[in-house]
Amino acid sequence: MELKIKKEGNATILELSGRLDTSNYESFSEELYAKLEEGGKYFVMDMEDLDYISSSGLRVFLSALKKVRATDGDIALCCMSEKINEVFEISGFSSLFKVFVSIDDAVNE
Amino acid sequence: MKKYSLNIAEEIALLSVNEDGEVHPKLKSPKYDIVIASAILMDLALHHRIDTDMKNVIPDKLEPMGDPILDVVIEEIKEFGSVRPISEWIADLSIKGQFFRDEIVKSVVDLGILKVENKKVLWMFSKRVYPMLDDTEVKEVRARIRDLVFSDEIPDYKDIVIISLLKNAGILELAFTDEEMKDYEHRISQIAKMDMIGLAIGDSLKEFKLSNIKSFITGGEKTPEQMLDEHVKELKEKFRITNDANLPAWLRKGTDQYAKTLEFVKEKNTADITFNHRTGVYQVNSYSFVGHEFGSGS
Repeated sequence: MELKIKKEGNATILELSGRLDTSNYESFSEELYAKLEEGGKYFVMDMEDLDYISSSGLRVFLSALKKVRATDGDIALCCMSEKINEVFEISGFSSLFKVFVSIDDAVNE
Repeated sequence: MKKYSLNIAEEIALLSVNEDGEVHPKLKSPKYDIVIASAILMDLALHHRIDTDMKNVIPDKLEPMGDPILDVVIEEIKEFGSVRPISEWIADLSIKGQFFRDEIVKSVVDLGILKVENKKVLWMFSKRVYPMLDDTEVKEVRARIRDLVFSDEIPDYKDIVIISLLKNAGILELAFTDEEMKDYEHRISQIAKMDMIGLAIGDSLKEFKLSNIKSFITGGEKTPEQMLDEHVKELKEKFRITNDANLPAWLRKGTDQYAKTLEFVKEKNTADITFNHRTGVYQVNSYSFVGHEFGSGS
């Protein structure tokens, strides 16, 4: 999976592309947590180009959300494909996160 | 070296033991083997030995964990070597249910949490009960998941899987009253669906049919070969196993182990049996938590 990170206003945007699975959830988790440690509070996961996510990937999201919310921050998800949205819906993870259709909506929120 | 922490299957088993030391009746059912199988898979996922998606179990870091129950399954997954539907693993492991039940009992007794005693009750039945020696672990898991359900906290994965297991297996009453289950139905459902293995349990239990098994697995005019054939056929239908290669060696024709299975069926005149991988011993299924090493099952 490729991960690009950029800042927009007070939000850190993480653009995920490819697959988030057993092969890379650890490295993704490390990068994400490094950003959290830097003091970021608001994160937007741009998932437009994410093709696949396994349970391990979902758990990284879950752990990160707990950590961020503990410091009054938040994580928003945006731009999910139908397939990824289905995974989040069926697993109920979409009820935990703020979900947006576009990156602008997510950042503005 | 004895392990010091409980696996999920053991935690569920302890939840099922009441203050009088009696095991909840639902956990004595053959259906409970599906719950045990699922708990094991959830534990492996929790410890990154496997990954899952909406359909499949995907092998991850298949290193042993020092847990006799989980390590047996890690070896099987390693041997299988590739991605496989969750439902097939649940089926495969459910067939070994009695083995896992025995190991769970042995483990919680070795850990000094339970002990096994014969006790006579009013009807003059002799039944084994499990007086609690140390109820710390039970209180901990029960209190933890109750606190979670009664709050709006983001759950930890371990608590997700336990709640998912309890809900999808229909044994929420081990931790909640009827009224609590009703009042917190939405919250429980929200948490329970967050685990993909938990979602698969529900399907496995719906498909489960313990039908007519006694009519052909015990005695009568059937030969041992016929009894075993029909038992295997029933298991394949029950757990939707379509490929004989997915059967364990002791149930797969043509293997040395199958020949030994047949010998045991001949000896006991029943095919309702299981095979303990750890000890290499066969036993007649008792669908209980009595435990082979404590003198029951055959």
